[in-house]
Order: sequence, then C-alpha cells, then structure tokens
Amino acid sequence: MTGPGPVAAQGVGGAAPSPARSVAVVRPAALRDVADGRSTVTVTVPTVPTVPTVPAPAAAVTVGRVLDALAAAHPRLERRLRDERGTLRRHVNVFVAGDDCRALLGQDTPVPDGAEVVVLPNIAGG
Amino acid sequence: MTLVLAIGTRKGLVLARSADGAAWKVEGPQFLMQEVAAVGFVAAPGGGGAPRLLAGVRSEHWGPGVSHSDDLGETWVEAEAGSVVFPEDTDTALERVWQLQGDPARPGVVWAGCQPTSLWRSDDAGETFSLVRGLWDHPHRPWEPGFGGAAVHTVVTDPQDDGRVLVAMSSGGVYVTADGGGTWRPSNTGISAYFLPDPYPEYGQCVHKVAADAAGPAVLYAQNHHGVYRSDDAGATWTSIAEGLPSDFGFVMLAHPQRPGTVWVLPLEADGRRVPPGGRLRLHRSRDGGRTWSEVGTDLPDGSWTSVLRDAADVAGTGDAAAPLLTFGTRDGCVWASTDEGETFVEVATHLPDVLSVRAAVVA
Repeated sequence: MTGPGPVAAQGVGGAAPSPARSVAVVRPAALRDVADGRSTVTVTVPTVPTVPTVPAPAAAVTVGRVLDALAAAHPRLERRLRDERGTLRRHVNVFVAGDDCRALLGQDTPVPDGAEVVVLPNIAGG
Repeated sequence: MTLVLAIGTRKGLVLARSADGAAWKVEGPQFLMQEVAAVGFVAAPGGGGAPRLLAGVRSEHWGPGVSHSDDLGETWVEAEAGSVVFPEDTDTALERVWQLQGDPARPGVVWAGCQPTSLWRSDDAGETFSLVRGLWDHPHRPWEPGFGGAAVHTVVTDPQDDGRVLVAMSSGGVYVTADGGGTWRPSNTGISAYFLPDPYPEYGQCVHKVAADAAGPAVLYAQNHHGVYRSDDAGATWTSIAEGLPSDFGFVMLAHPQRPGTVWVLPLEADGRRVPPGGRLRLHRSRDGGRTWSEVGTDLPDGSWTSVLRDAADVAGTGDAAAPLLTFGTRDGCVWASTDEGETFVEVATHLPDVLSVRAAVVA
C-alpha cells in the first residue's frame, strides 16, 4: 500500500497524529502473580511517525512493539513471554484478533485498532 | 538451632525443617510446576540473621530465573530486570541455572553456573549477576553439552586467594583461573574421557562434581563420568581413588566441612546402568582421602532402582564435626538426612517429584 495512511490523512486536516495507542494484553492465570494480578494489562504503545510512503499507521503497532511496551512497564511479565534476545518463548503463543501471530508475521504482526493481544501457553507435558 | 533442607524438584521447591535431625516438617511445593535445578543458602546481606535462600527456577512455558528469599522461603523476590541476563552482544538467551554457590570467605559474592555453559558472578548476594567474560570468550567454547544439558555445575573458591576459582562443567571438565576469571586454563590431567578417541584429552572430560577438602582447596575430589579422582595440587593433576568402591560411576561428591580426608560418594552401577549397585542405595565414605572406602547408610533401602543427581546431595557443618547435616534426594522423590556422618539416615520426604537439587543449612 502506498499513499498517506489514515493518521497521516488526519494530519493533513490539521489534527496531530495520535502519539500512542492503548492495547489490551490478556494474560493467562499462570502469569497473574506478576504485576497487578488482573487478567488484562493495558499498555501504551508509541506510534511510529507516519509519512505518506509507509504502510497505514495502524500497522505500526505490532506484536513486537506491544511487547516492548510491556517490557517497559512490567519487565518481569514480559520476560516470561520473550527471552533476552527478544525471541518469543517456544511454548508461549500470542494471538491477535484470534489469530496466532506465528502463523502471520510473528512479532511483526500488526495489531489492528481495538484488537486485543491474547497470551496463551501451549498445553503439553506431564 | 534449626536444620533446614531446600529441596529443588522437577515441579517445585520443598522445604524441610527439623530441630533434631530426626523429626522433619516438610512444606511446599512452592514454584509449583517449575523446575528447581539449583538452590543455595548464602550469607544474608549485611550479615546476621537467617541465610538468604536462592532458587534457580525454570518454567517450560515462562523461562528461567533466580529468586531469593530472606525469610527462609516465606516470601520471594525476583529482580525486576532479571538476575541472569545474557548481554546483547552474545546473542544468547539463558536456558537454565544449574548452580548457585555462595563464597564462604566473601559474603555477598555468589556464583551461578548456567546453561548454555557459562559462569556468572554476583556481588549483591545473588540478586543480579554478571557474565564472567573470560570463560565465555574461551577458545574452547562451545563445550559439548552433557546428557542433562550444558552446565557449569561446580564452583570452588579459595579463601586465601581472591583470584583463584575452579569450575567444573559437563562436559568440558575442570578449568581454573588465577586472575579472578580473566583467563582460564583446563585442568584435567589424569582424568579419563574414555568416551573420546583420545581418552586423556586436554579438555572434554565429563566431570560430574568436584568437592574441596575441609583443609582447603589444594586437595580436591572429583566424581567423573566413570572415575573417582583426587588432586593434591589444586587440580593440576588427578589420580584415581576408585579402588575399593563398587563402581566408579556416579554423580555425587561430598567433602566433610570440618574433617580433612572425609568424603562421600554415591555409586551407581555404570554409565549404561544408572542404578545403585545391586539395588543397594548406599553412600560410600572414606576417612583417608579416598585410599579406603566403607559402605555406610544402614537405614537406606535395598531394592532401589533410582539414582541421585549431582546436586541432589549436600553436607553442612553443624559445629559438631561428628554430626554434620548430610542429605541427598533421589529421582523417585525420596529425601534422606543423616547427622552421624552417614552411618544412619532418616527419610525426610517421600513421593516428591524427581529431586534435582538439595542444599542443607543450619540456622541459629
């Protein structure tokens, strides 16, 4: 896609592009001992400044950038999901709007406006 | 005086306490469904009070980490930014913490042995660790992982010499530094690696555990992957002390904290038969630095086809040289303790998950 995205288009109209977006990260019960104990943690993800030649700004919010924001706010929680190289742990699955990000673009998977990021562990073992 | 055992299992941490070594109260598991491959009692920050308890835990889902408790397991703290975190330039991620070893002569210093094969040093009593670059950058790395996973599993420090540290790894063998970790050299002369084309290579041995004699780290004992050895020159050379044992295979090597020359091993039949010889789960003790051995542990079971892993055993001084707190745990979830140098044992716990690590402490 080329041309101005929605936020840039809004910018043309004089309104400043939103500098950040809130994204809800839903975590399993096993991770509620970290941070505040609630099932959903909302993080604020800075949006990338947009220019007319880059994809729609909604795409600027990705799974990876949501997890980066989680790392800034709740590092112990984020460390459960990714190792220190930033790799998603093998038995951790992250779903965006119902789809496993591994089946999409991994951590580059866009998080659409309003979509939740849902963390679910694999079931396995004995 | 309270005797305390920290028991790391495949599915969590169990604590046992006793006033007399005979009756034990067992509590837990904590960290349920997380593997606890390393536990350690280290000096409390600031001195005094109960020792700090460290636990190296690993969840199959959520990864590894280190937590510490300053109230003997009532509450736990995990460093917000992580305790053992590989620097970005290594492009490596921590897989498991195998060893958490305080330095008795240097309160506040704690060593961690990890997978992938790496050594870490903490100067804040185990809250945060720094990678020992000299070993990480060694030209011999990467060492071949042992069957249980690559591990620095033994750290022996020298109370007289800040610069001297000995580590052992599976596999890889023994390495020593004389400059506090900047440079390391292999120290395996005399230790067999029968499973390699050259059975006496410079490095690559599968040393399972090394213990320092009560007299100091100039005298060392090693349980190897077949082979039991002694060094009288701080690890420069090793000679066999396996004669008199039912088998030279096993994982455990314990040295009495107060009596020079007293050591225990826990033989298993062989590499290919990792069970107690004839089903007799027993320790073998030497009073003379490995020249002669005697079977001990009259209360231990026959018909036992389990095994004891390298860090699933410990001995702690109680102040009475005749009564150290000696303990070990088995892969079938039994934990045993002795306060008479291994002559007799009490069964502390049964039916736990596989015991991976045990550490003993005596708390005032």
